Amino acid sequence: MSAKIEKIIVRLQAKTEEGQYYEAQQQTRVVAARYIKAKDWSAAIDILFNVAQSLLKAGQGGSGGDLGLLLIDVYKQAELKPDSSNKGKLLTLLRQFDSEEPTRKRFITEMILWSAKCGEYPAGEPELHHVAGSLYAEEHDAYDAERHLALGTKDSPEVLAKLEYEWYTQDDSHTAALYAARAIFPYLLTGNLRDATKSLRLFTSRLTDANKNLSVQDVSSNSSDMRIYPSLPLLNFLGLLLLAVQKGSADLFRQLKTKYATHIREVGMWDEALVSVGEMYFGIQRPRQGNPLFDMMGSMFGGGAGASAKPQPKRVGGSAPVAEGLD
Amino acid sequence: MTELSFAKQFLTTLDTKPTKIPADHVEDPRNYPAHSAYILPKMPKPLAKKQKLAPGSERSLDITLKSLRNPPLDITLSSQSPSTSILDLKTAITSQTSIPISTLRLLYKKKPVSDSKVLKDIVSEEEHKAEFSVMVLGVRRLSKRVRKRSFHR
Repeated sequence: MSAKIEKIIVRLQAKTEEGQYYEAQQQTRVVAARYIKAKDWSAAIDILFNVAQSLLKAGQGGSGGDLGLLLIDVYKQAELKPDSSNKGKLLTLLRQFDSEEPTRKRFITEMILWSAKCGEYPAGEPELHHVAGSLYAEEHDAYDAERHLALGTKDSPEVLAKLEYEWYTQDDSHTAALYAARAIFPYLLTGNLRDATKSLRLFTSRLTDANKNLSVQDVSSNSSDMRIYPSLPLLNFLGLLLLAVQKGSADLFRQLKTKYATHIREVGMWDEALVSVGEMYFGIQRPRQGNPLFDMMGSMFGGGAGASAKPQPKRVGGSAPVAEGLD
Repeated sequence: MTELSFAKQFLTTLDTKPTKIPADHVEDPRNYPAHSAYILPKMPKPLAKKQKLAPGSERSLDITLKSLRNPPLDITLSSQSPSTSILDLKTAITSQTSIPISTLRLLYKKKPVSDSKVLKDIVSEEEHKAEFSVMVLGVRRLSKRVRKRSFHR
């Protein structure tokens, strides 16, 4: 950092220390704009990062967050890669936001979008998802935690399983599978069987540690082992499902769904996920949308509109392409 | 049919089918579609919000940053918040020593730690202090004797 830029930062930070937050924010914007116009990215970044940090430290989430968002905007204009120093600056700012600050959510969204645009991960950098998800998990913001941790790193299932288990302890004891499933399905549907399996293992080990009286039976065959919980049928369903997806055989999937049909119907919120699992792992076509008028129009005009516009179903690990247009 | 006998039978059937994807299969995240992840619908019972800790009641950690090699360093940072990141620690070293931040590497229990990690990710919950070793890149390579000694340890 040049002495000139350092002097500018010190002057702007002094404004923050004097409590003149609005002035600090506005002047920073003006100064940064000058360097952005000149495409002197590193100067703009140094200024924005340092003043944003001082404002956030002073509890000024709104103005600090505004400069943080501008910083991400500079990253995008400069097409900076999500390397560890660029990410590190954003994560440093992120951690200084108060959890109640409304700007934080936008900051996280923009940060992920930048990493998707300038990096190699179209859904955003796993590391950034992991940090954002862990932050939400710590604050018990369950849905946002799930959304980010599902796209996180290999450390994410640990955080997610812990969160889901904690949530479960606030509910009736027979509901365990409902909470385990909240970690398992998101991983399965991103094609991440490893972490779906890991989530179930971490969840059940917490469950059995905390409930010494829970009855558990071990079953094994020549090539697989599994633990059965006689009092928690849906937990067994999930365990067997994770084994079945490795085989990808549609009969196995149907057999499982039939056996547990009553329980699954009672849960009521797994249907969509199970349709996707069937499509991705077992090559079972998604049932057509039940719109009779649309179907009729489709068949009248040569069946073009509906079927062909649908995205090609994605088959995980499938060697043969999925048959198309059978209906 | 009981849970146990169904599972037994199911596992036996599984054995007869060829494995298509391994148990540790992970799709490359570079191929994920550009949208957010699917999550299950909302639960009837929301997760109870966490009680916010009063400021100052959070655990704090005393951090020691040491370098045994060139240049020798011994920096203590007392009462750091568990949300202090590794990048923050590096920044602190740079401001005290003016060693450029890009040449610093931190190790905890001999393992390198990345900039974006925070103390609570690394240091276990019971600990109240932590020592990091500092490596400064681009300084004279290790002498043979030092390397030999660390090999025997």
